Amino acid sequence: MDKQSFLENLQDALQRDDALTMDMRLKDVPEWDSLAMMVTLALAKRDFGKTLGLSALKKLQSVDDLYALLTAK
Amino acid sequence: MNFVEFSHVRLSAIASVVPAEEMRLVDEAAYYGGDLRKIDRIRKMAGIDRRRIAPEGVTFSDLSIQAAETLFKENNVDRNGVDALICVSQSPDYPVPGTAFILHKALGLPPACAAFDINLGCSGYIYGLWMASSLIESRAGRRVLLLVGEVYHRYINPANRITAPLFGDASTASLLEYADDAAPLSFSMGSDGNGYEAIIRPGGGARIPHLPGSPDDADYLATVPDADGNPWTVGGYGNLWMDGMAVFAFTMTVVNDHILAHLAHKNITPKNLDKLILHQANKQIVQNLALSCEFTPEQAPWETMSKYGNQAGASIPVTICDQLKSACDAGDRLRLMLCGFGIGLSWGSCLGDFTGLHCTGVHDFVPQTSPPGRAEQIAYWHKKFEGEGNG
Repeated sequence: MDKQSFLENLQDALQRDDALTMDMRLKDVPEWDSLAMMVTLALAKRDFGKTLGLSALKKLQSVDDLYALLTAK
Repeated sequence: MNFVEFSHVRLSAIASVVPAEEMRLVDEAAYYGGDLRKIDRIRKMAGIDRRRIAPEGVTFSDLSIQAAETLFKENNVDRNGVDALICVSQSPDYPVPGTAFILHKALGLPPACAAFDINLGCSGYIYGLWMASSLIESRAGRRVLLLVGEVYHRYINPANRITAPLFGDASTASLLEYADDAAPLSFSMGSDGNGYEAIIRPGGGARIPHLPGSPDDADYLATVPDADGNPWTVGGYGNLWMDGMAVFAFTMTVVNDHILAHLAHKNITPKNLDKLILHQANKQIVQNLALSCEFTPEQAPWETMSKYGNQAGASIPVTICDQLKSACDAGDRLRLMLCGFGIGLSWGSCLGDFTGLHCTGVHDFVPQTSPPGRAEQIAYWHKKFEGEGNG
């Protein structure tokens, strides 16, 4: 999945009005809460076929880190 | 992981009862600073929307009486033929004795009927089915009445936004019977006591009893806010603690693997099943588990929790009544996997063909009499202590 589609899907999953960018720090995204982590696990499975753990999500710093984790071979 | 299969047990009927009083998340905007967007986000993401709350004085046994009587009436059950009554609840009417005895009396069950409680929450329906099936398969009894429900709101502070919007009160009655031609029921059960602190009421038991007037009484009753301001307390009112993320992580690992292992053990794929009825923990948990175990979203309903709240042990039978009543009425084939998980930590699942199950639907609670007030009940006991009516 390309970066633009990923950003749109993540924005939609997080129920966020404003667009996300790859360089955004997750701690600056107010919607990045425990609920967001739950839906991100579903997004990882649905869009990337990846089974992630919460601990992996908690370590992420930026949106780019998340994309890198999801697309890592 | 242990597996067992029973071949002489039929789940014949289920009846569900919920309080008529509904609370909606949108009615509680004040807790969210009036931010309707925030509420909408919780509704869409977690599926938390409406819940039923038992009014003051209404207990698990009150809801259960109506559920059991509805089940008896609609299925022409002879109550003298009930060999065992199992109550699964963590909202007992009294600390002791078990609520099974209150219900044994209220339902007019015979002295030959064994009655007992099981202290379990969200996995409780599966444990109740497993226990009832074991009794029937071993010929310890031919007919078992299983009552599963909670009035968790008795323990929950409405200001706590983790627990209060989540849970809903309910009770359910299920009838299990001996049948020579029953379709097999496969069970797998598990527990992990290492997680006992994940969902707990720390105070009020023998470990940290309430000692009114003791020097630490204020600490015992103190509310301690978390980072989001939700109040938690060791003892007293509202002392149900839940580590939501720990529970979520547990469902995504242990429960996920459990479902896959049970399916693999029986050599069944999701395509061979009509529905996966999961404990209605929240929308995300239901959808994530279904997705990662390769069920379709349509196979795993989550809408019942949105309508009634997470009803702990009652959520699986209420979901069957809510989502599958028309299929039951039509006599459709019902190959189901039921899976409950939660407090303990504990989990269990049941695989079987439930075709022919009679479900009465979800009924609003209709009080037969107004529940006695607190002062009235205290006075009743004071008189009893003084010997009124003795000798």
